[in-house]
Amino acid sequence: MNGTWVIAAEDAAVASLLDLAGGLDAPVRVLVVGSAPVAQTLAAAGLTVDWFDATDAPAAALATAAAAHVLAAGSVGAVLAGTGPDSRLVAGAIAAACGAQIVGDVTQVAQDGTDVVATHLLYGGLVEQTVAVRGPVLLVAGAHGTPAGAVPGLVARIGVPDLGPVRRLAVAPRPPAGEDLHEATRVVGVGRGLRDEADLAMLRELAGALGAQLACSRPLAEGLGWLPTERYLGISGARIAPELYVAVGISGQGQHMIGVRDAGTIVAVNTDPQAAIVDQADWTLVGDLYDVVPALTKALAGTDAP
Amino acid sequence: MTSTVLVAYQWATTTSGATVRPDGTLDTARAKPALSEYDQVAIELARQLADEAGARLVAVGVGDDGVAASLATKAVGSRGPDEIVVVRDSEPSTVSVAAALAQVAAASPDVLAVVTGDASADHGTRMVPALLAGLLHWPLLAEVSNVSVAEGGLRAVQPRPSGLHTTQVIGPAVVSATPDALTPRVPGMRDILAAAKKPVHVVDGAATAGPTTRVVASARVDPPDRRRRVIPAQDAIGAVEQLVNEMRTAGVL
Repeated sequence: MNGTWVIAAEDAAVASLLDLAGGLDAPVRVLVVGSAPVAQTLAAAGLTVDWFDATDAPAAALATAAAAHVLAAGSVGAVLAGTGPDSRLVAGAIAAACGAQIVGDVTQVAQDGTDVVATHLLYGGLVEQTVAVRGPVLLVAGAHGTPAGAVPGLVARIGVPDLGPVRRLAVAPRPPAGEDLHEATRVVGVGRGLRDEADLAMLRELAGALGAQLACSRPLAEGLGWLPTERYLGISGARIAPELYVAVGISGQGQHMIGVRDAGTIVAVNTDPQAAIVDQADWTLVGDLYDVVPALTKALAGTDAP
Repeated sequence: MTSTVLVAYQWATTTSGATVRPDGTLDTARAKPALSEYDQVAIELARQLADEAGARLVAVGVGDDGVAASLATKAVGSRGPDEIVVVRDSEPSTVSVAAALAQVAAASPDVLAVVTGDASADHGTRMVPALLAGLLHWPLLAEVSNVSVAEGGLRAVQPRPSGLHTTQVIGPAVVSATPDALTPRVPGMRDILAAAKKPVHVVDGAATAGPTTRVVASARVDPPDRRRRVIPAQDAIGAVEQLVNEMRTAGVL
């Protein structure tokens, strides 16, 4: 039987990938190209883990050896990987080595005889397509959720004698980006309607009153750098499904809304009654966010946050 | 011998100007193909790297006949490559684009780097750089904000959640640029005029094995229907009170 592999690199948050892999017949093996805690966490969840230690070596130095290891273990059926840069790097090495087809933005996986049937999103989420793939396939999907389990599995550490031409010279630490947006039940997103970086304090107060995490539209993270890139929502950023999403000063363009369309409830604050977000929100307060946000924070203070 | 920096680009229809039919096919009649923002960043970063290395910069586009049209080659040429190679591929996919880029890289003299953007505008798997690196057996310097020439190879800065990583490679590498690595300059009149004189080579992509992927179903994804309740908020305090009351009644708060 062709093997199914799940790749973990940046962290152990691959529960969503394991769920997808559960739709296939073959038993799942986990390939960790990452740190010891990642390998240990996944083994503790009862998984069989083959571990390439990336504590000191960059994943780029281990990818070729990891791909060779996967191929040597038997024929490859499906490989599931998240969208983090190291996950994709390892997945690309394996896909090149075994001549895999590639399906991105995968949301469901099933087995149909020898075919892997994958449902995935195209054009940044505008279209859902189901494809049947014969032969090895790399399935790229959003990776989130850390698996838990009571029965410890095994970690096999695979040594790499020659790291090749890649060296990590230095890491300049920066503060952690905060909690995982995917886990948040409430999220406040802020966009170009905000005039000054210092005004983020006002949004942080609103998020605090709601018990929400703060996120943003792409320009605030990538153009202005007011929030870390992990905090922007949209096609190429995080896609979330909180119970409540409050969009402040966000016009509601498709690229952003794809990241939040699965939210249970959407509340918008916008000066423009014609803004695209009005049709995509449950409630829109049409007014100046500089008046509305402090009033909303005050009204919510004292209510029960989740 | 002068070394070469290759930079990959796509001339593709962006979804922002297109509409999706209910059967999931794309109506691109009113959408214009363009060079994506990601590729503009990649070309500028590659130009800077080539200048530092004294290397020749070759832009490589993979796609249908539109990629070879003068509108497309001028748009790319005005952004600074010395030469353009177009690989004809009527149905570009992640796999075929990576294979075509690997073919050009393997055939080019003394390649220092193949630079790519972070994501492509159409097929969007964000896997081309990693697959290309795998095909070439070269290391991938993924999502770099800066890349420079180092002894015998390249040095890159990679922003990661844990911090800024500095990584060095001896020999050639595939480099993917973060979208905010730099702000690409807007080509001036002189650049646009010069672009018309840049050599353009059009080659055919290698035939790939027959399709092993078949489409079973395809449909437009419509956003969920929302309440669309609008509350004017000239009086912010009153409007907020009304909102909070309505949300509580609906069981949302």
